[in-house]
Amino acid sequence: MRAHHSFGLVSPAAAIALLLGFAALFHAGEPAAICFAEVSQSSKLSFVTRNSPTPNKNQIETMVAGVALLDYDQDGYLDVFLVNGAEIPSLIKTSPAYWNRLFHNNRDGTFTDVTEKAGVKGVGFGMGVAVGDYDNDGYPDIFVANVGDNQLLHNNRDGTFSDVTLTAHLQGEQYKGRKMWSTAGGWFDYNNDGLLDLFVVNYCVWAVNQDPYCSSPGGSRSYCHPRFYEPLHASLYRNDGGGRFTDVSEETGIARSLGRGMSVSFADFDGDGYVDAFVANDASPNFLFHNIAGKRFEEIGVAAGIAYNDDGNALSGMGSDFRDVNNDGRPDIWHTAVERETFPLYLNIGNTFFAATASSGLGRYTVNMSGWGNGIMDFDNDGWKDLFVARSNVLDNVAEANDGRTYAEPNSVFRNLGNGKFEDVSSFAGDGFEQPAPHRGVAFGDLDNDGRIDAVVTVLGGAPKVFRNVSINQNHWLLVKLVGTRSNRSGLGAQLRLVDAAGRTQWNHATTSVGYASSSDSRVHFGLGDSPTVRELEVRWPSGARQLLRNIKVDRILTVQEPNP
Amino acid sequence: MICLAWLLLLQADPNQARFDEAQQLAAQGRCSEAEPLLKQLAETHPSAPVEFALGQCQFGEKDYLAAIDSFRQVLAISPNMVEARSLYGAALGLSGRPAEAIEQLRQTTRTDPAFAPSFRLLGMFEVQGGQAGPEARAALEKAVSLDESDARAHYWLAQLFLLNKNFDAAEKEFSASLSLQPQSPQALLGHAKALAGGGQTDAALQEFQTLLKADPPPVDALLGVATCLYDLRQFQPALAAAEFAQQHVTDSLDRRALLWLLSRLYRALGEPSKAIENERLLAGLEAAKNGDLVRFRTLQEEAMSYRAAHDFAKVAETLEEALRIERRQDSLVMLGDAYRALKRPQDAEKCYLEALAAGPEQQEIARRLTEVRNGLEREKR
Repeated sequence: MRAHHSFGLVSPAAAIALLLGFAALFHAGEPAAICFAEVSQSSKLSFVTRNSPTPNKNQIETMVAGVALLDYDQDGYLDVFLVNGAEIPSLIKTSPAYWNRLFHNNRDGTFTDVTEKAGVKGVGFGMGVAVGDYDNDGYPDIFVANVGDNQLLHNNRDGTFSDVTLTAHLQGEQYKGRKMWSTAGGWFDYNNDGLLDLFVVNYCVWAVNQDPYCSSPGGSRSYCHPRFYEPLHASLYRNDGGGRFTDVSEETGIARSLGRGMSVSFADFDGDGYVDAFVANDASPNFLFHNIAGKRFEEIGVAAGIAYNDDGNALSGMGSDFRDVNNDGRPDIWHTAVERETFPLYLNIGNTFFAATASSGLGRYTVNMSGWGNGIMDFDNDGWKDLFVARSNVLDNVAEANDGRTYAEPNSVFRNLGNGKFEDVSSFAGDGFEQPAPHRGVAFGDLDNDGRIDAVVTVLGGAPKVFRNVSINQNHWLLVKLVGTRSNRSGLGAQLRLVDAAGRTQWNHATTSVGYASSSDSRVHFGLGDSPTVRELEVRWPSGARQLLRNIKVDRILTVQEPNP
Repeated sequence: MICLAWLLLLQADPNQARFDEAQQLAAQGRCSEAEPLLKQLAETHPSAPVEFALGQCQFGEKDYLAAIDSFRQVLAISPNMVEARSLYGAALGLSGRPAEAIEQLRQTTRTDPAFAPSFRLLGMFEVQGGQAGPEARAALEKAVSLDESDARAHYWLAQLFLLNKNFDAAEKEFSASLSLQPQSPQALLGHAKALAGGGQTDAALQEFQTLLKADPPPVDALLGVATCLYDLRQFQPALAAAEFAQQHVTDSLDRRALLWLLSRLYRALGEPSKAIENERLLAGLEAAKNGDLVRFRTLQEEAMSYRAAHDFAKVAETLEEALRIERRQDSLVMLGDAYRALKRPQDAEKCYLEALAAGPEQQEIARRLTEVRNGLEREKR
C-alpha cells in the first residue's frame, strides 16, 4: 500500500519516527497528519549558499538563492541543483565555494556531487533556477537567472551540460547600460506550439556598492526598502526551435509593466486553453498577465483583484504558487510577503479573484511571518492541497529593533481543512519546523518516489535542508509523469482532472515554476485519501488534445503519453 | 513634600481664599471663571501650585500654548514636580510639537518611574506618530501595570498592537479598555478592527454596525462594514456602505483601501467602467508613492556628495526637499549636521529633536542635541 521504494534508514514510518526521535510526530496520541523528517545531515548535500555579505549592504546579498528538483539523467529519481552567489564586488565565482552545484540522487537517501562532471558550476552571482526541456529531447535543461548574464545549460543526455546561452540569445537584456538583475525564470508554452518558452523575472535597477544608505530600526546600516530602487519589466523569450529564442517582451506587451519581480507562476486561470502568468512583485502591485490566444498578454492584476492587499497597498511579494486549493477547478494564487503584511490567498471565483486571506485563517497565522519560497501541495495525501513556506526576515539586523522580530525564522506548514480554512500544523510537523534559519528558496518533489511530497529548502549562509515527508496515514496517491508528443515533451501546462472512486474531483497542472527562484518536480501529484482507485483521469494537453483514462490503479507513478492525432 | 510646603505657606496667606475659590471653580469645570483669579494670583503671588492650577485650567480649555507657559513657570520654581512635567509634555504634544513632547516625557518617565500618566502619554505620542516600536510598547505596558484602571492606557496599548497587526493582543487590550469605558466609540472601533483582522468577520461586522448609529457615521466604521460584507461575499450591501463612505473619506490610507474595495465590488457586480475609474485613481497614488522614494533616494545621494565636498548649503537645500517626501531619521540627522556647519543651531536643534522622535532614542543623536543646546546656552549667556 505504501512506498514501493525505501529511502534511507528504514521503511515503516513509525520505526523511522522512533529512530529519528521526532518529539512532535505524534499529537495527543494520534498520528500527525503532516510530518517531515529533516534529513540534511544524512543526505550529504554538501553545499553552502554564499551571499558575500558586505558593510555596504548590497541588495543582492539578501536575495540568494534558488533550488531545483529535476531528474537530469532520467533514472526515475529527482536530483538536486542549487544556485549560489559570488564574490562581491567582482560578482564572479572566484572559487569553488561559489559554484552552483548539482547533486545526483543515489536512491538510498544520499546524494553525490556531480557538478564538475556535469559542467554546471555557473557564472556570476546566481539567483534563481528554472528547469524545462526546451528542445523536447526528453532530458531537462537548466536556466539560471543571475544578477549578471543569465545562463542556459543544455542537457547533453550523458550526464553533462553545455552552456548554450549565447546561441540561444538568453543572456538577458540591458537597461541603462547594465544587464537587468534577474531573480527567477519559468518555462511555459505560451503559444502552444509545442516548444517551451521562457519567462524571466527582473527585479530592479541596481549596481554593486551603490545602494543608498538606509538604517535599521536599531540605527546600523541595513538593506534598503525596495521602493528606493527603480523597477524593471519582465522578459519573455519565444522558443523558435533549433535552440534559438527571440525576445518578444515588447511585442507581447510584457515589457509594458514595470515592477520589482520576485517570482512567476503559471496556470490557465480562465480555462481558455492558454497559460497565464502571475508575477509577485516586491513593493509594487502584482501582475496577472492574461494570455490572449498565445499572441500577446494583457496585464490585468488590478482588474482581477490580485494587485494589492485589502488596504489597497502593494505588498512585498516574494514567492508564489498558482494552483487550485479548493478543488473547484479554478487555479488560485498564494504568495508570500513580509511581516505585518500576511501571505495573501486569492481564490479564483471565475471572472475575478477573491481575497480569502482573513477568512481562511491565513491572515492571522502569517501576519508576523516573513516568507520567501512557498508551494501549494498535498502533503498528507488527503485530497486537499496544503501550504508550505520557507521563512526568514529580509534584514539580517532586524533584531536590533528589539521588537521580537528575528532574522532567522522557522518554516511553516498549513494544513488544508477542506472547508476553506487552514490550520498551522508546523509545531506538530517535525523538529525541522522548530529550527529558525534564513531560509530562501524551496523546491518540491517526491525524492524517494513514495508518493509523499518532499521539500528541499535553501539557507542563506548555510547548508540546504532536506525535508523528507514521513507523514503517517493510509492515504493513497498518484504521481503522473507526462510525455508530450504534439505538446512540449514534459507536458508543462497540461491540466489534469481526477475523479476518485467516491466521485470526488480535483485538479492540478504540470508546472515546475513554484515558489521563489526555484523549480519543482514536473510530475503532477494527487493525494487520494481513502480512494482505492481513480475512476477517471482527464489530461487536457497544451496542444488541445484531451485524453481520458479510466479505472487507474493507485499508489504508483503513472506515465501518460499524449496520443498522436 | 514641596507641594505640601507651598500649601502650608498659602494657608497663612491672605490670598488663600481666592486660591480656594479658583480651585473650586476649576473642579466644577468653570475654568473660564477660575482663570482670571489664578492669573491675578500668579502675578501678585507666583507659586508652583498657583501656576500649576492655572496651567491645568488652560490645558482643560485646550489653550495649550498658554498651558505650556504656565507649566514652564511651575517647573522653573519646582523642577521635579512630576504632574507638571507630565502635563507640560502633553501640552507640547497637543500643540503640534510631538518631538519635544516625546523628549520631555522620556525625561519625565526617567525622573519618576512610578507616575503612570507620563508613560501613557509617551506611548500615546509615539503611537500617534506611527512609532509603534519597543519603546512605545514598554511605556504603555508600564502605564497599564502601574494603573490597571487607566482605560486610555489600555486603549493606546491596543492601538499599538493594531498598528503591528498583532490582532489577538489588540483585541484583548481593547476589551480591557471597553470594560472600563464601555461607551468609548474609539475603543469600539478599534475592537471591531482587531476582530476583523483576526478573521472574526461576523463579530467584527456586528460591532462596526453599532457604530453606524452616530451621525454622521465614522468613515472607519463604514469602511469596516463594507469590508466585512465583501469578505462575506455580500457585494451589493457592501457597495452601498462603501459608496457612502466615499462621500466622507478624508484620510489617505482609508482612501486607498476604499478605492481598492470599490474597484473589486464594481468588478464583482459587473460594472467595469466604474471599477476602472477607481483603479485609475489608485494607480495614480501608487505611482506617486513609487516615484517619490526613487526621487528621495536621488536627493539623498546628491546630499551625500555635497557633504563630501563640504558644500553644506547645498546639503541643506537638497535634504530639505528630500524630507518633504519622507521624514527619515538618518536624513534628519544629516540635515541637522549641515545646519550646525552653517551656524544655524536652532534649526539643527529642531532636526535632532525630530530625529529622536522618529525612531528609537540613540545616544549619538542625543549627544548632538546636547552639544547644540550647550552652544545655544553659551550664546544666551
